[in-house]
Amino acid sequence: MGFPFDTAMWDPSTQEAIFMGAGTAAPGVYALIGIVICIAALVIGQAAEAAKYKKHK
Amino acid sequence: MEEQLAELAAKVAAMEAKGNLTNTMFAEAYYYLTIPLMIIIHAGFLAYEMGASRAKNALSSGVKNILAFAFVIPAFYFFGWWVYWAMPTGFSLSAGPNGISGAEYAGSIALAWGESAAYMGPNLADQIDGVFWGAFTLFAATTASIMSGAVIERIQTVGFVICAIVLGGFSWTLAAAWGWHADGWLVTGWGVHDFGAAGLVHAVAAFFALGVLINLGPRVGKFNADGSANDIPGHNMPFTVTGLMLIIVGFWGFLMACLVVGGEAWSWGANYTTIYGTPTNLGALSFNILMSVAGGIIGAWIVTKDPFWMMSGALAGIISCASGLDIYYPALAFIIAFGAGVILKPAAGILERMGIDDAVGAVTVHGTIGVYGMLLLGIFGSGYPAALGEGAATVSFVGQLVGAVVFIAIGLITGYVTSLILRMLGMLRVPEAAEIAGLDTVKVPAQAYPEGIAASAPAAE
Repeated sequence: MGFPFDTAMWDPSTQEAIFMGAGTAAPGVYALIGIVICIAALVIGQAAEAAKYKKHK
Repeated sequence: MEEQLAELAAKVAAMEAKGNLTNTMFAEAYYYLTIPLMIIIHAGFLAYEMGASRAKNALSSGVKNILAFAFVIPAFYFFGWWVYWAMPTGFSLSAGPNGISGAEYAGSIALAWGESAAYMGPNLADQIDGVFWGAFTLFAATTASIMSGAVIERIQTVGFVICAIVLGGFSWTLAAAWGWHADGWLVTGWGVHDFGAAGLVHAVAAFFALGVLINLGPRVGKFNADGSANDIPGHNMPFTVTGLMLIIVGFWGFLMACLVVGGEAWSWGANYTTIYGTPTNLGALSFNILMSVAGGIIGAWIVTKDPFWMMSGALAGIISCASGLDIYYPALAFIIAFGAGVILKPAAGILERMGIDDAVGAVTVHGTIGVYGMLLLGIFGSGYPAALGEGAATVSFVGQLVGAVVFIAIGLITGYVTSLILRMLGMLRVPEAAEIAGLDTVKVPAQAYPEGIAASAPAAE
């Protein structure tokens, strides 16, 4: 699966996953990074929010 | 002669291939177009919620709503889609009778890593999973928006986002796996029929919101010492009412996405069916959605004369008929929706007298009316096949009641437990001083109305 880098041309009969990293471990790595970003955003967001509330206690 | 026959056969085969491709492209485009239509639901909820907030909270309500949309999408990508395919038979994660469920099946098509990642990204051999996932993701985001309005003006942003992730990524998805999926135990065992998701989207989201509201508590000033309630009007009724109309528009896409297009390998047959495989078409939706909108508005107008409740009545009208939009007679849909419009405000009053501050009536519109709709289908639709196939369970009042109770429980328990944990962590409610000051002032680096809302200059002569 994946893009045919040796020819740098799509085969007209291509009928498969065409995204970058298809057929490798890359999707799992990207997914993991995405999940980490979501969790980190929540943690950072919560810290920022709590700091704002401290000023209005 | 043989040569001519061979040539004819080749032409027929070519035409067939073109026909198949056209059908596949139509099916893909059909679901793709439901996605922007459903995003209109979110535009509507955004306007509705900001308008229903006091001016000091208008933007923070908007921020909260936008973030729910943003976080539910990856949550549904990373685990919600897997829940839908893995759990139809329950928590055993075993395969159901149709062989399209269980942990093994879900692991092969709905995870963003490993071999199943091929179905979770651009794939020329797969013209359906991407758009199906997109439509389901918007269902998920809709649940979060339903909950969002109920809790405005006092919930913390991140705490709310976590609730939205649980609701959109797990709670409603579990309900859909049980009550929508062909292998769902509520469908195969109890004949639950909830075509337009009155229970598994609306009621689940509403009772999740109720669970959160119990832990969140009312806004400052909502209730007096003697328990009587004060009205806390939003700052922009026209904005709210327009938002409600946008939600109605978006629900045409939502309900359109509840149909299964025919003629594909994954279809139930050659023509449109419901998600259960039973026959219906877009005409059924056209008749019944319009009649239910009208019935809901008129019912609410008779009782309230209030544009907020009239437009809520339109939404309640659709929800009241959603379970059976595929088979109701339009005049019956009108009657059911009229009833929903009539009971809407009195039902909201009961909730308020119980000390629950649901700022926009979401628990009533989506929860009470969702259950009302499910149960009425159990009466009027009794005996209809709930799903495709010989020996399939039929619709019954008891089956619909069981489905409604399960959906209520899923929403209420998950909402209550999630918000209880957040409350214990100090992540649920904003401090009282911040609530009184206004959440825009406290945490939004922008002003909703920097020039105030002044009268415009005199008209030119």
